[in-house]
Amino acid sequence: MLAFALRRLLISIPVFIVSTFLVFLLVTWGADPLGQLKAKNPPPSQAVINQLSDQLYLNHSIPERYWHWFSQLFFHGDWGPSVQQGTDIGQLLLTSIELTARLVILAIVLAVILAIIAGVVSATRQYSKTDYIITLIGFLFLSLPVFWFAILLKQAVVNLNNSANWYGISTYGSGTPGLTGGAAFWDAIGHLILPTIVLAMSSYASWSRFQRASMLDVLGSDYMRLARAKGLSRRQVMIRHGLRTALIPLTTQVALDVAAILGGAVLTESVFGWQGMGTMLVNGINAGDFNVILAWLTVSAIFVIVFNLIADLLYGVLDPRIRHA
Amino acid sequence: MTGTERRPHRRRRMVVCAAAATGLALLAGCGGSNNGTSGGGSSTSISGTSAADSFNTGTPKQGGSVTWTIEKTMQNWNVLSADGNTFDYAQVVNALTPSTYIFNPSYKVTMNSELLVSANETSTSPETVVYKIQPNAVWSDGTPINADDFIYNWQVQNGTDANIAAASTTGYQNIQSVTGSDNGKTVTTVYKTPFGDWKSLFINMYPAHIAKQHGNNEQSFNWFQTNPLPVSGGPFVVSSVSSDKTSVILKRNPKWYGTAVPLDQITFRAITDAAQEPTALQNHEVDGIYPQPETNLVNQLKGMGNTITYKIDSGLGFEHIDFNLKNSALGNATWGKTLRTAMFTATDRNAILSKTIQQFQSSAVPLNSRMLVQGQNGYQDNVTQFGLGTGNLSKAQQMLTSAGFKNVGSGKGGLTAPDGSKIPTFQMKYTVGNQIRLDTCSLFASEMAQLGITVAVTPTDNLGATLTQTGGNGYDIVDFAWVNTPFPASANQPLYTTGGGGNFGGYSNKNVDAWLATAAASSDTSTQISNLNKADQQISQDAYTLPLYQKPTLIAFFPSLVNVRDNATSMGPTYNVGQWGLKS
Repeated sequence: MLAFALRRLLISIPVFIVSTFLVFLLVTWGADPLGQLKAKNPPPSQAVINQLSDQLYLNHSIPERYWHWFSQLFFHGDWGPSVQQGTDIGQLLLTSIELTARLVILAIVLAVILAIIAGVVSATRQYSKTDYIITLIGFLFLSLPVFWFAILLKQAVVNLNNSANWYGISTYGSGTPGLTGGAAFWDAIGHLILPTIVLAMSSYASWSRFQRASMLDVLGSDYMRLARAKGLSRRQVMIRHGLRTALIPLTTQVALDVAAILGGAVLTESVFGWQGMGTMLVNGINAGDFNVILAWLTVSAIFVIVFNLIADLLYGVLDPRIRHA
Repeated sequence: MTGTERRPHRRRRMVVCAAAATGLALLAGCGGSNNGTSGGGSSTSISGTSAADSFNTGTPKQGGSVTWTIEKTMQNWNVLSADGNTFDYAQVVNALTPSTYIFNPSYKVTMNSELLVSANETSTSPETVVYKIQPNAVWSDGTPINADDFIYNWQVQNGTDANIAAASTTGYQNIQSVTGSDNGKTVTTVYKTPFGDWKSLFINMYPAHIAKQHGNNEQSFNWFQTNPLPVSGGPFVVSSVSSDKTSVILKRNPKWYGTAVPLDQITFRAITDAAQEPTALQNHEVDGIYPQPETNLVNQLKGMGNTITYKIDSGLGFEHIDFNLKNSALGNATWGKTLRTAMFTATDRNAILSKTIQQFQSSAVPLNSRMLVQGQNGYQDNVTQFGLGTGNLSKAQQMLTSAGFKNVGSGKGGLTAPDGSKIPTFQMKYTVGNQIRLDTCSLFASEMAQLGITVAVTPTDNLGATLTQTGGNGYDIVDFAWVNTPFPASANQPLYTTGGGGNFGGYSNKNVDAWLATAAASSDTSTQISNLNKADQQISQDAYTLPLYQKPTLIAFFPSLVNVRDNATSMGPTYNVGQWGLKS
């Protein structure tokens, strides 16, 4: 398994290089990092433009600029300058990752719990009214655009807050500034509720269907019938033998979906004003800030590679029938 | 846009943000009172009038805090720098840095009597301005505000150090020397070349004694960009900045030398998506917002009834259509002027307004000056007297026919110039995502088709490069916006003077150069106005640009706030943040 993991990591290196170079090309061709600055009136002097061009290494060929970025990052740990003078990309990454991680981890936990419950109940009560209701809810959330759902939810909560004259659930940002201690903790929870629900629901929908199918597959297998025939209670059979096996595909699916959730967080963060990885990417694209975009891509690529590897390894760990060559 | 830029800090600058508004009924609402407001909304503009200065005036109680919205995270603290010269940053920095003059909502410019005892032009030859600083004016660490601060702020903005990326050197580069006397409390500025708008200088000054601690001028200038001000010469001091820079908490300055500040604290929260601002207001997460007006935003505010106060005004920004005279047809020395004049004559501004801005501000009218907006002293019609913007298609066709153009009109194979050359297809650019500008350009193109001229309307996601015609970008015709200032003389000079930094279309007229130079050099208002209007009329005669309309502004806040009001100048609503308070 170690050899497998190392092989996968080694293969990831050229994939990473090619993907970052392609994105670098796209960003370089698509945006002028100094465009917004040049648009100001009166525009900055040519000396200022030249100075900033030098600072951003813009006066070199694309391969030179890419190599400059690559070597600065991997040999010197320097993410490079941002087009926004006051921005430290390394610091920006840290705060962005922390915020997105807070949101994504909680959303995944919530989605997994709900998906397991819904999937198991739905499978054990197949074709019942309960199954149909759960199925309907699942498809509803699968078809709801995240952006639309988020805005509707916000407005509903605002109306609720106003009618109750209580404003504990917040609609924007990750926290109210200036609070400390217990007040800050509960305030953070209040800010987490809505974006977590939005992010969780989009994953819950597909995972619940996945879990239902997996559970049905397990319920129909011979060893489950044998376990019942041996006199084990229905509960014991379901949980110890059925659910445990049915969770294996979901576990690996969740690991694979983490990267997709990071992408979905872009919309959620935009609607709820979280300055996480998603907002960082959007702002970077809007400003033509290629160092910020590449920093985002680097981190995201690492996440995708690592979690894909985890998914593959987990499958081998959880299912003794699978062994990696 | 992405929103990109918002409004400018200091100086006229181009508005690059897109306001896609579609519909709003005109509301008659309550205006200002001496006890604040009682809620509700109004779209009757009072900008540029004395009523704007007294809107929502009230006597605040002592204490309390307010949370105000900005639309950018605090990435740059130096509003004098090219990168930091952004409206949102200035909203915060206004509370921390002293300015010699205040730009009021009525567009009047008044001396900041809390900072200065007096400011007088004591000589015109050479031009000399003497400032006397209040004896008790100090920074929050007790260091007196004195001539050193004026000297530092002049040195970093006079353009002598090419490594200092200042937003503007206009005016400062005209100064020969800045010297202090009377223990630094008297500052004498002597100009090497006259500069009439001297009141526009020494705004948002940074502390010289702090600068000294951080290297030379270039190093300290850059340090001010990346660090919150450790001291304040304004009514508030920085208390904390969140790690993600989305919020800044300011507390009352204990060493404030001016009128007592009612509020204990003011928090600035960044809401980068303007569409989310009304919801945040409705949920009591902020106490006031200042977004670009859009139909959805205004409708949301209307839906809040009297729980909030909102106001729509006509701002200092204005939309306009410009020709690029570097285009061989538009800039043709023989018949180009006739072509341009005919094109602008055929442009129906009322139709454009009807399809765009009047959808949400029915009282909007065409703007008839490039130099001034309605409400500014000296505003007059320098456009329609030349027939521009009237939509008179027959007159435009007649003009072309008389000048020798062939195939005038639609369906005749395309307009041909008197010399036999075919008039090419013109590329008309607008900022991507801006529905109003798309509608404007589309209407313009359809009107030009009636003259036999083909206009291809295409969006640009990089207006800066388009205007400066760099990186393969360019335009023949463009629709964008400038923002006027209370100092139209110096603000307009770079836009229309030969080789001016904002003269993207390559316009050149010796008379206009002279008139604008005279206006910029004169401190006499009537001389400025007279020369600006002469220049404006000439630009109309040359048919270089066509002003369309003033862009609206929108402010909304809880009625419990007093002394909060719209200010369409670059200083914005926080121009008087030291007077903000809660109703007593």
